[in-house]
Amino acid sequence: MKTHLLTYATFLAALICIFPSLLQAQNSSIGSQVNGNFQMDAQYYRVDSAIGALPVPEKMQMNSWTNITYTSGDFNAGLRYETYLNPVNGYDPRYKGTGIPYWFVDYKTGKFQITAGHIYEQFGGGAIFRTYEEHNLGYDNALNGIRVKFTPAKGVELKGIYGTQRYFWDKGPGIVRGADADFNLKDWIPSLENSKLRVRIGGSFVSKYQADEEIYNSSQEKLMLPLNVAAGAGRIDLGYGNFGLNAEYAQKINDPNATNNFIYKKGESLLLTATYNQKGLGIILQAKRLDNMGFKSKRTETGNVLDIGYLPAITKQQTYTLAAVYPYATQPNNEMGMEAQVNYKIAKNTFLGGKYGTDIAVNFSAINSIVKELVNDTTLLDESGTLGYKSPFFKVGDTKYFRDFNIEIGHKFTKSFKLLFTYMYEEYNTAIIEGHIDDTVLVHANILVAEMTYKLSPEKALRLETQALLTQQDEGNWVMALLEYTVAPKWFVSVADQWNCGNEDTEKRFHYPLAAVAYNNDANRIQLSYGKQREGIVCVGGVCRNVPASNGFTLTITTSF
Amino acid sequence: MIKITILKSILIIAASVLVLASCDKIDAPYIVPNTDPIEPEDTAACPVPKFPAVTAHYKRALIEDYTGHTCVNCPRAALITHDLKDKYQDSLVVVAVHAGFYAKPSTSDSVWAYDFRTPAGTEWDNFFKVGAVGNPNGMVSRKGYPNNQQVLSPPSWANAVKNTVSEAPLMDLQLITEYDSAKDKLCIHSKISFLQAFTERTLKISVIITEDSIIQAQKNNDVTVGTTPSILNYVHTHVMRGAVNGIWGTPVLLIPENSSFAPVVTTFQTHFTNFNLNTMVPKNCHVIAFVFDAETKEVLQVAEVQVVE
Amino acid sequence: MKTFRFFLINALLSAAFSAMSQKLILPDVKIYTLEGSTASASSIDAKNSTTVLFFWNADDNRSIEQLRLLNEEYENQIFSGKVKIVGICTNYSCTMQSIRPLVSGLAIGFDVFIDRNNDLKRAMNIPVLPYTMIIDHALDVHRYSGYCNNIVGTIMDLNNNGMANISDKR
Repeated sequence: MKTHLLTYATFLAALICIFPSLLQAQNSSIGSQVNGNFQMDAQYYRVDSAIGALPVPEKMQMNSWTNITYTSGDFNAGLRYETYLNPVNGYDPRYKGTGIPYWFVDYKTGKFQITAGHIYEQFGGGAIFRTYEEHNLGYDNALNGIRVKFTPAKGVELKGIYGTQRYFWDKGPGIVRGADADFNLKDWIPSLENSKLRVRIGGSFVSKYQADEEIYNSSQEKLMLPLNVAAGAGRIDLGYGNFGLNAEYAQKINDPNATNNFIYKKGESLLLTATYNQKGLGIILQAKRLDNMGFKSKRTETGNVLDIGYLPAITKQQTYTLAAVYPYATQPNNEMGMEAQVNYKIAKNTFLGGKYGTDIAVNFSAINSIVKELVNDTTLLDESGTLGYKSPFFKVGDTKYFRDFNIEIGHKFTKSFKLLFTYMYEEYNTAIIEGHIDDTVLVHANILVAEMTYKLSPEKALRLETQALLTQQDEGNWVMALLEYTVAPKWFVSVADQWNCGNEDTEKRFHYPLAAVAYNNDANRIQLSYGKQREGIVCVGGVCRNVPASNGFTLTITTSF
Repeated sequence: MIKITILKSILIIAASVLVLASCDKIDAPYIVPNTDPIEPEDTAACPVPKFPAVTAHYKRALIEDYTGHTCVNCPRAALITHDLKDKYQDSLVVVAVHAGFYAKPSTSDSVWAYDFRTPAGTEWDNFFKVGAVGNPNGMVSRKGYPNNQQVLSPPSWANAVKNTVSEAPLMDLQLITEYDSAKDKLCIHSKISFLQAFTERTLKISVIITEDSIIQAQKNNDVTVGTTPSILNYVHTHVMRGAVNGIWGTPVLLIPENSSFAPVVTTFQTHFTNFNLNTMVPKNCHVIAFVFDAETKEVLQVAEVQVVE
Repeated sequence: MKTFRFFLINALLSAAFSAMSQKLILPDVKIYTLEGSTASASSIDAKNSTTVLFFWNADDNRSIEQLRLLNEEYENQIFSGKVKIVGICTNYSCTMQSIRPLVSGLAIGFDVFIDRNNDLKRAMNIPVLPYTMIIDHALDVHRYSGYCNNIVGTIMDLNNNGMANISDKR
């Protein structure tokens, strides 16, 4: 701990010494700049035993982030101050505290770029390495260490990283090392320069080291753990005119960990994407297979922290409230799926397009399990301390995780009236995605959303959202309406109500009203809302937590400069 | 323009109200009896027995497994505690604390209607934020609380137990119980013998009762543990049934540290009735006592005995 | 330790205040074209016309709606020649490849770049999405956080009257 503080102090001292000279350089031709942002979310809670909003001893809870970045020519430094006193409802309680968990210095010299401190980086699609931060989701797996980027020639980039990852206010126990190479052949091969063909290839390698520890298989047996776990990935991006094809394959050697029940099978992932694009029409087809790819820099970790790799969702992210009631969460160890999406614009001044054109988006996704077969007759499926299972690569498993078919039509009828209509059919496996099992494992839901915007004047607009979620399972039917009045660019007022009108238990047919007012002044925004938030469940890596319902005020301030 | 200013003021006032509203107005009476039940030593009801001399001094670890009957991933965690208990025997004490969302009894389905929650377990879960991190999770001797690192995932319990039992014990803790089945009365006697010099700190002792061999349904998603999605005749073990001396125990009377070290011995006794009322089976029950630092909450020593030998 | 931190924050804050009235300098951060080629954000030319940098997220309705609104007016030629729009799609959860078909399907007429892993968003400290930066002829910057139903009016006002005028009106 002492040495840790010392390095920290030395770093800060160095920064302070550098700063005045850098500030003086501000008037010079290279130019320097400081920018930053600030966000605060404060919630005041009231007890509401009906919906399950428990008393909060602090009454108020608050999260806040402040970023400051300084840039001067090829030099770059920044930090983020965070405070959670205490973390607002829904955040991991281990964030409680105040401090500077993120800082970095970065400079470019010739073909090199060096970064020291906390690093956000992604290799290719991120399958074996991605560090990122999404504070509204309470996620940050920044790498604390160094990064070197080397660009020997145009179209070639080599990257190396070395460090440990953020674990709330601490660091994870595993050391992560990795390298990535990326080649854009267009910049390399002269004959490709004016051709319609685009080729980009890349490869990466990541290794994690974690010291040995005692993991018992039974009271008499303990596991022989690999201290170094390596993963490799290769990718290719092909394009020809309007067509695009992309593939990324990754493999990881034996990595017994808490999310896979300590099995020794290797992990594999594949993501294939094909696209077609022309103005007014975009088509995408994606297929994905994930097999035992949970990769964290701490063996015993089960929570939403310390991920080394990132496995993107191929299902459509829904933002309408009721459409997002059953959101799919990627299952890194066991999933096979596909997605198809077509975006089409019916041109304006046509029969269907009308005066302003019509936007249509159709999306379908299906996610199942992979097939798991017994390794031998004496081993159970997923038994710890064994190879766990065998899985034929191209076979799709029987367990249905998720289905989503949705169609979205947007049409502007007149200069001042616009309608956006969404229909969605969804099947959602609560057992797999939420980790709780009821008699009905699969929720079937139909969701309808109509959004109408009426422009009263160039500045003033009225927006009405009506939504319905129809299902026989879980909590039954929900309806929602939202009315919003904006006076651009400064004022915004909205009222909404969600009603669980179809709950089988008639005493649980609650209303969840929400009212908000916001004032916007350039990049500064202050929003005050009052309302009730429904209870939710978050499951990651075999650990589930309940986000209690809440009833109260929320004050949000965001600024940036 | 004036309108905007008014609206702006309203927003600022509303924001201030939000801050000002975060206060607790306390009305008289300002002094209430301390709820920590410091019972007078009723030596007549429970005569103090003679404790055997302590021969082997070693530190024992306490695993608190926060769990619930509707938590599908919890049976696997329970299995880990069984393996550890087999390995460490008397050096390890296990408590299954049913608390939080997944321990809530179902109002609609009678299979899931039973309730293992206890006021103390619920309070601990809220205080240590175990359920807020997620189930299954737990603590080993409540270590790490001052740094907000007390919540440990089940696979990491083994290492934490190994480290804890290898520490030098600050004290020894002995427990003697006498159960009178006719009166359904249990006398619990504990004795703390300090083994090394220590800087002055506030210590407390908590006494709880756990019960084994309760057969009730448990949700499960692990085929290596049992049937899925439910094990209808699941054998629950180490189920915490209640705290005998309050949620946060009672203070251990301490003589301030002397310059020349002499072991300080302190005894504590309590009694507990109502086994039948609480539908517990005495022969399946254990009494667990643990001494902890009132500030850091770290459990320094723990002991466990059966209610009926 | 604490004093060090205090000094650092002080230094940063004083730097911040001295730089309040700064001209925009786009950072040298790598961004991707929809076809997958790379470019530097610093190469976006904001000098020759009023330039709008529009940051959006492909997973968010309000972002897409704002994108549509900008595109409508762009197509209607209100902006033609006077205003340059550059869309920057920050990809958080979707794959990078899924952005191009979306942009094609919406028939977006202006340039869209992909900000992989939010590198540019972070370098420019964009707090929320959608986020609009309007850079006038003098390279002064006007910012707007969140969705704005009159974004076009705001841009045109700025283009026609300049930054000073807008400030007075406020």
